[in-house]
Amino acid sequence: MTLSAIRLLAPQQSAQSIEHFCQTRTDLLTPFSAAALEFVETLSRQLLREPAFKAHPEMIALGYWLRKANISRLAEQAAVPSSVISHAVRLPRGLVFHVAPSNVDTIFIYSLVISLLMGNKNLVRLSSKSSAQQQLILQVLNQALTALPDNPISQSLLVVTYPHDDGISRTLSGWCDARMLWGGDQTVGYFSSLPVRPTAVDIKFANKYSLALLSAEAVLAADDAEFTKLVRAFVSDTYLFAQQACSSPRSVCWLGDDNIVNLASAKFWPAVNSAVSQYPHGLIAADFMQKLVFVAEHAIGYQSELSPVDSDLTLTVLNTALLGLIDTRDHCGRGTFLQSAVSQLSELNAVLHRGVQTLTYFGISAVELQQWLQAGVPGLDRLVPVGQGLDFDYIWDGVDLFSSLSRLVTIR
Amino acid sequence: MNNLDFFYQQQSPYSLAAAEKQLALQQHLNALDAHHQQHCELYRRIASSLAQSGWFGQQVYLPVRLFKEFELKSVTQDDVFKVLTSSGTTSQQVSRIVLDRQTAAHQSKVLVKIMQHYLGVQRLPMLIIDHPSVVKDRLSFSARGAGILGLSTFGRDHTYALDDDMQINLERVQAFIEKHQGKPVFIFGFTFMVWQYFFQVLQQNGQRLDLAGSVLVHSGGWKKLIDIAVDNSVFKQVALDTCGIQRVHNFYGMVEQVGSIFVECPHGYLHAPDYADIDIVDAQTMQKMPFGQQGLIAVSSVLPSSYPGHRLLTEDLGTVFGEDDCLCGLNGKYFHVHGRLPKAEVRGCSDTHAAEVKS
Repeated sequence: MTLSAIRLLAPQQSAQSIEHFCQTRTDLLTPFSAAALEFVETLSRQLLREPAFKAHPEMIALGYWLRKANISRLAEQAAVPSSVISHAVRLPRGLVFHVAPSNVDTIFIYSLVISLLMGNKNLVRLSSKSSAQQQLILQVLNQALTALPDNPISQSLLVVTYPHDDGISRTLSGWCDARMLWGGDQTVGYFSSLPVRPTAVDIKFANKYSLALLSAEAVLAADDAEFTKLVRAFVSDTYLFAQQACSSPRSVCWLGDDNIVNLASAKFWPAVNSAVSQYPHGLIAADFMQKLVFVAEHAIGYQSELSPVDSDLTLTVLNTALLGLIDTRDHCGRGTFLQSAVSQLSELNAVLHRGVQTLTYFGISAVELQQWLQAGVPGLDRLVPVGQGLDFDYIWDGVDLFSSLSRLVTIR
Repeated sequence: MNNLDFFYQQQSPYSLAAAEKQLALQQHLNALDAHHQQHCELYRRIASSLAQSGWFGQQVYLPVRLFKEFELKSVTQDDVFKVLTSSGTTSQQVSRIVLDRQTAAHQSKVLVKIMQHYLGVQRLPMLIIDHPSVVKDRLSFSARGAGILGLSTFGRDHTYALDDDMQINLERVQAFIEKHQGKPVFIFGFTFMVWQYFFQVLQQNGQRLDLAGSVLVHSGGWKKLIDIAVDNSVFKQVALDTCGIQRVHNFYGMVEQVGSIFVECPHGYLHAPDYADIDIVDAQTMQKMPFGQQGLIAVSSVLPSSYPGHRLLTEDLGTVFGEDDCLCGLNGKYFHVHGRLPKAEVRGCSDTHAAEVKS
């Protein structure tokens, strides 16, 4: 076994070997330790202060999420319920091995921070393909660690990278108490095949698919300000990562009868089109080629029809029967929407499955949504208003990360 | 179906001037649109989806990639004569092009018409810049092997310039030259092979071969050469310096449209023959672009009736410079190919592991 191919990215220097770091458990912190809180606060300040991040809305969003006020709120939500607290104590799991996704660069920070807050030690593996965002994140992590030379958090965090190597991945997997797998189905499947200790847990975030649900009536009734806000929110949910984040809606399902759906759709898409034309979507020729291929693939698979909403391919809408609404296999993202309609929420059940994650909604009441869910729905992990599709929640894909990354010791 | 007599009756494959050509070509392509809609359900679905799009001026151009994902054919299984496949050396998937006897016959006939325009009707002694085993193993037949075999019908006394270890067999080449001294010779090879294993080796060793009066035809893309800063003019200069070759014809073609190839004229432009056409498309709007602008290459051909490949959008970039007014005197649009479309960045919750293993 050789770990020499592992490159340390943060902290910039470490006195202990990777093996020693991974094997030692005597230096675990406790949940919501002062050390972790101080580190997270520093990280937040660095993110919000660094001018280089102004151009990256996802970095700014991360900075706000890490602010003291938000973390305090999370701590309250994550607190052990009073009915349990009298006979249980929360402690960290131990070593958490994080396998970060290659491209939505910020998302692993959220789960890392939750893990740090729970008192775990963390070994993070970043993709060996470096990106500009990855560099910025490492820079901020290292700045925060340097700014707090005496904070013991630097003993709880190792960020590394290594080229694909079965031996290394197997060794690291064998050392951890929890493994956090971000990535596509293939990455998750690959790491799942490498054993962890019998006492360890896996938390898997595989490929997911998301959609938007819009009330036709509400879209038609929306006044100018409300409508403009909706359109902007929809565009930022979908064009920020070129619609390739798991929680970016790739389909739009209208709720309403055919005639009002047609009217609402005719109001909605031209507005989206003009908002998109001002949005720095970054799509290039190869992206448009992908879209053309997808239009053909979807037509072959579902006899969908391209809707003439746009004179160019920045926005592409395909009208499809409900059966073709969710295409988890081929959907290319990049501003491509599969469009269909239902007259009642329960009709949507026919196409939902465990691979469907986020439903962003507009004009539908929480009560209606609750009733629909409570009657039993075969998919969906989160329902959020349009505009919050990309927000991170400590409950992700149905998993409460605070409880998954800690353990409750009972005492009677 | 698919009577090409009008085109075959022309004096040369570059006879038709723009007005007459576009009329005949579009009429023929429109008939193929209808034919494929009727006989290929998958094509019909795509055409139906795009009906309202306004893309490509209301015509349907299939992205070539679709032939890697689907078997698109407009003939019944009984009429399948053979299936062409692309090389697939770098990508996992290969294109599958279904031919019936008629389409295959048209492909051969048109290729003959075009090649004879440059080589004459007599078969010339042929020097192949490759090694002989590239065509031996028919089971693992590469696109390179298929290309060599296809072009071999235009030559005789086929002689391979390289040995299996890719070294030039000078003895064999010299014997070939002496045998055909003073007569025109046909040289064929893939662009990169010709450069890497022939011209460059001769140049480095300071060797000179007397192949003056011969015609070099080569194809296969410039990507590897552009990476090492070799363009068409450098290539031609070295052909002249090392072998005295004055006539060099690159050609652009693809397995999805075999036969109606685009051959380079003496002025360095690729030309559309009467049987085919080329357009440049803006990817963002899927609209045809005016002459002089760079964009995606869209190719049309009147040959394919067994598969819906008569109008295709490639992933190559090019520029059309004009029509019928090239200094070489040939009719048809003339153009340059600039290379492959740069790949899109992978974003989103993607597969780190898979991406790293592949690369």
